[in-house]
Amino acid sequence: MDKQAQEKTRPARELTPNVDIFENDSELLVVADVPGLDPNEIGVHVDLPEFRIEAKIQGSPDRPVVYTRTFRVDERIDPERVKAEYKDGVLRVHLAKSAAFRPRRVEVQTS
Amino acid sequence: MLVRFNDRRSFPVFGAPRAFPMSTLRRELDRLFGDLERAPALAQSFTPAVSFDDTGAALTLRAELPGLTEKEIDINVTASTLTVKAARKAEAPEGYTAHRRERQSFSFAQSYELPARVDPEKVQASLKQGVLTLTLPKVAEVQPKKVTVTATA
Repeated sequence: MDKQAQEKTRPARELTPNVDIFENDSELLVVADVPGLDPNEIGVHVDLPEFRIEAKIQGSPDRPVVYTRTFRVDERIDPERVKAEYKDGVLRVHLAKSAAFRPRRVEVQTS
Repeated sequence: MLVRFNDRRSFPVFGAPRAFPMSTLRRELDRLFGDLERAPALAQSFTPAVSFDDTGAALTLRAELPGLTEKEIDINVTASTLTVKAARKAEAPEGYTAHRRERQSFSFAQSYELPARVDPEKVQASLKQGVLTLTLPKVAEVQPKKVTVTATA
């Protein structure tokens, strides 16, 4: 039997939050709907090439709820410069691009 | 022969060979699902997660409304009904291009017929990190009362 077909037991109810992903010249912005969390319980992990959002809340007394979402990002992201903020149940993660991958305008010299 | 112009099945197409039934079916299905994907009604049908509980002394409602502030939520209560209205507009930040848009706009309006009479004056609502919690205390007459059994000799 292949690995995919194996049944997994889960200690928690796993939810996949809805996300928006935006990009501009300097960063990637990931916006996720994760209502009702304690900001300290939210984990944002950048382990290239993986970027993961993970948060746990005590849902029903017997079974916690875990929000997880994993994305693949490449070396254009600087793992040292990732910032996250949480407000009104919405998590916003700013993933800054490495300086080398930011577009730079080159002036054309006239002689 | 007279045919209705909008009846595509019987409208004669001159010159074109008659399509095979399977390809017609496939085209019709593509058209149907294409219409569904474009339908704005589908995007609007999103409803936030709501749970309603009866704690005995009060009814409680918990609704997940991420991204909303207290000003965007409208709650109306009578002794027997509750109406909750909330709307969210999914907007893109300025100067960014979108790669993925899953967080939807919603316009949520729901009325509930309450299973027990409540005191509208004592209703409390709080919004914390996108979670709306409403506590609707029941009127005194329908509050559960504990009856103590007295043993008689």
